[in-house]
Amino acid sequence: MWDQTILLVEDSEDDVFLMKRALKESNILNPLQIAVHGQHAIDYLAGTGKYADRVQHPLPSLIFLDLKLPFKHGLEVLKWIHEQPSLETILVIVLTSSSEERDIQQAYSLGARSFLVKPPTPEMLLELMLSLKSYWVKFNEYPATLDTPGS
Amino acid sequence: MVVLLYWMGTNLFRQADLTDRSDQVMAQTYACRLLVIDMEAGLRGFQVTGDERFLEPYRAAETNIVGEFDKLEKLISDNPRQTERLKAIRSAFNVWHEFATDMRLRRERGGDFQEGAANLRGKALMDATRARFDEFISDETRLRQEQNEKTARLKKYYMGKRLGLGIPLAFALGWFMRRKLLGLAANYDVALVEANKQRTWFQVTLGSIGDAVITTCNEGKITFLNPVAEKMTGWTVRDAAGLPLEKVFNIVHEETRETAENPIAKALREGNIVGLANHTALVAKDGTETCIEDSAAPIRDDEQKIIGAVMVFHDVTERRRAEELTLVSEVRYRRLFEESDDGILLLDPASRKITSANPFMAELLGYTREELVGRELWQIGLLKDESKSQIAFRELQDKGRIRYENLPLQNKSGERLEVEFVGNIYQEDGQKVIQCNIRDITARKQASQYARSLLEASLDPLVTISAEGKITDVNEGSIKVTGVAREKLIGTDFSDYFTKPEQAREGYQQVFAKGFVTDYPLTIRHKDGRLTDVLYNASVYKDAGGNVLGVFAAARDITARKQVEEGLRKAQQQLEGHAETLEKTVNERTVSLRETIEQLEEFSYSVAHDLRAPLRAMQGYAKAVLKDYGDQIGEEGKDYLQRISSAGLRMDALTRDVLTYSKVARASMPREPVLLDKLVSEIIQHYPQMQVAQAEITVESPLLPVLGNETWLTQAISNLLGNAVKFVPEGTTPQVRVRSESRNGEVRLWIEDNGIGIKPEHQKRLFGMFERVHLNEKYEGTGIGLAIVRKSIERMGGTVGLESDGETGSQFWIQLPAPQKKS
Repeated sequence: MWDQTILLVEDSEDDVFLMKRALKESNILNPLQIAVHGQHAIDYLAGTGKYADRVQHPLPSLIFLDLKLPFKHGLEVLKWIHEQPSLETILVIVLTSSSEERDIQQAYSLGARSFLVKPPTPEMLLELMLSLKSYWVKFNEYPATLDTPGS
Repeated sequence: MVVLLYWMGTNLFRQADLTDRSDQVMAQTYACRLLVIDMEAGLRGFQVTGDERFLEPYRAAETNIVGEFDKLEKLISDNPRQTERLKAIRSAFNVWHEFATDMRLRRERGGDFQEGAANLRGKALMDATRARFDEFISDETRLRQEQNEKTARLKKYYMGKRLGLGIPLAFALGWFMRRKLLGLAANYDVALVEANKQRTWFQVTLGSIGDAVITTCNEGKITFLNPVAEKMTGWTVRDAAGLPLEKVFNIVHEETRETAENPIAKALREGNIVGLANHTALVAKDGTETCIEDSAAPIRDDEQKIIGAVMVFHDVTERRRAEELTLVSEVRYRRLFEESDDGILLLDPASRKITSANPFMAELLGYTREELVGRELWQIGLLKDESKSQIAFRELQDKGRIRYENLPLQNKSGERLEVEFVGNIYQEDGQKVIQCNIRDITARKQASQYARSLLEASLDPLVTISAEGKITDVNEGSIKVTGVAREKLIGTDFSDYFTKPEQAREGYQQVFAKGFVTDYPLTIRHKDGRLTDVLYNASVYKDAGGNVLGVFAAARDITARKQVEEGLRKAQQQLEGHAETLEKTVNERTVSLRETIEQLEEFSYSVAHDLRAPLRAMQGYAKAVLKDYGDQIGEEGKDYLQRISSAGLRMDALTRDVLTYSKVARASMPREPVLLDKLVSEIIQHYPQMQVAQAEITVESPLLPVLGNETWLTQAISNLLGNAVKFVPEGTTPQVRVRSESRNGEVRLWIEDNGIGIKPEHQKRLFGMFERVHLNEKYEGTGIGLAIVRKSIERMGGTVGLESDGETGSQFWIQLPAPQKKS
């Protein structure tokens, strides 16, 4: 489980920085891939271009998806993933700045498994990551198919 | 000698025969007269009662009378004078009969059989007939008398002659005489037989005539009663014969009841014919009474010696009644004449002078009746002058009648009147009489002028139209609407004045066919081209006999109404236009509002995401520096970084509250019953600062349920409870009491704290946006929390408020409708 790739879809360098620190402090040591906009995320997941190399760019088991993204909105990315049968087992957690009701509704209906608001302080982010680790990474059982790619 | 005797004999016989014939004539005359009387009485009875039975004697007499007259004519054929008189009787009777037939038919048809003039005329005619009869009878009576006397004279004369011829002649002719006498004896037998025959005939005649006949001997004892007399007295000839007349013929005066004088006694005493005693009633054997008319005459023998008497009488009950009726009708007609509201004048056609005038006439003209009599019509202002009068009378003579409908008349006092004048000429007792009826029609005329002025005053065009569609009359309104003068309108085609002549024609034809039309639309064209929309209401008008004279049509100008309708239609159109514009505007505004809202949402979305990202960065880097390089920057440096972090945190809270507030304003907020007990306890559990260790929160269960939106109510109560535990003085444990109360069907939830309170002067703006009333850093906040409370509660239909003296805590409340109890 610890070798499963996590894909962070996030355009803000600051947030990527804070996220990397939080993951590190919470001791989530899985390989982390970054997509800085929506289309980037889709290209990565579709394996187009340089992402065809799944050794370099393996399919993630967990995606942190920001919604407010350049080029393609996070919900569009979510929709695209939802429409790909081969990606149906990927765990998508929305991690965004604001809890807009309509975003929450749509996100869940498009297959998001969780909807998290980015906490205002690093301490709170760390707390969130620790909870996540104990739940999603530590206790949750995943389908077998996901075991293979990274191994 | 023989020749002489023969001549004398035959002369004598012829004379006796003449006397005898005269008796027959009298009997026949009475028979005719009786028939005439029967007819008159019958007619009167029928006229008065209408009962056909009264006509029975009339009809019987009508059938027989010509034959009876003819018999009479035959009897008197050798008497030219009486023949002439009979002719007069018959012609007088014929005139009356013609009148009677007319009156009978009038009665049968229900016409005016009581018309005064006609009845007066009838009476006059009958009087004339009777007078002719009377003349005839008195002549015949005289004739008979003369003949009786002549017979007596002849007898004497022949006696004298016989003696004077002398004895020689007697001897010389002895044997001849004997033979002759023998022959005479034989003749005498024949005469005797003849006399018997005559007696029988006489009795049959007496038995069959309608009058009662009683004969007596010269002592007044009864010798004979004919059947009518038997019936009326109740005595038979056998019982009565030999009795004194008074016993059988008991007569009393109708009114005084005194025994009336016996006419036979008087006739015997005076030797004359005794005339009719009026008003006598015959009391029969059985006591029944009959009104009678009687006459008696002595019977003389050849020597003029009275040998008895004969009395003729008949029942006059019917005639009396008829006379009474005549009297009644005369009184009635007199009254009509006297009381009439029409002026009546009687004139003499020859002199043209007034002979009689009724009171109304006198009053109308302003003259007394005496003044009127003897004047001519033109003298009293009825006809203009003498020449006019002569023309009028000539016309009256020619036609028997004249009539002037509107005769202007000036009465004695100078007042102008209009009268209707009718003059008739008729016969009264064989005399021509003119009767004029004058009716004052001034009022009628005024009424008609009044009606005319009403029609003229009408603004509606009114016309009358003949069957041919020609205009026969118009009012002022018609002149105005067509611009054509009255004289030019009258006589022209009605349809000429409309935009659609054929439709106008169809209109009045419809009136003639149906009797009326209502609201028939047409457009009148004025001479100068102006059009007037009208609705026609028309109906036929008729004369007194019900004959259609033409069409009366009234037009109602509906131009104004049409204009109003047009105006209304335009207004409606405009209104529709406005509505359309309005709808369009609303749509546009809705679209723009929606755009605005979308923009606003876009804005808050950006605020939520983009404004918060740098705050997180500030926070994150500040903390990262503290963590990674804290030991190198000293205490002051760490403090600054801490402040950066706090400011970032505060700004994040502020941003979040602004977003919440903007959501309160636009979020949908469906209401449902909310159980406050559960909701409050969940809130308390959720916030660490409200836990028992930090604060004492007392909930006075059970709290009353309210009608609200659970999500937003949670937000509001959280804010209030948060404030309650937050604004307490240093070192004081927050003590909060939550309770509810019912208020006018609503529920008020109180949240009372022991905090620092809010001064009354600040309370008003406390619920405003960004309002903060405490400057102490310890009580920092965004200043939006209470604004969110107020906005959300108001959107649920509730109210918020607080009570505080600014020292000993605050009592905040929210009030919401109570949920409706389910039955």
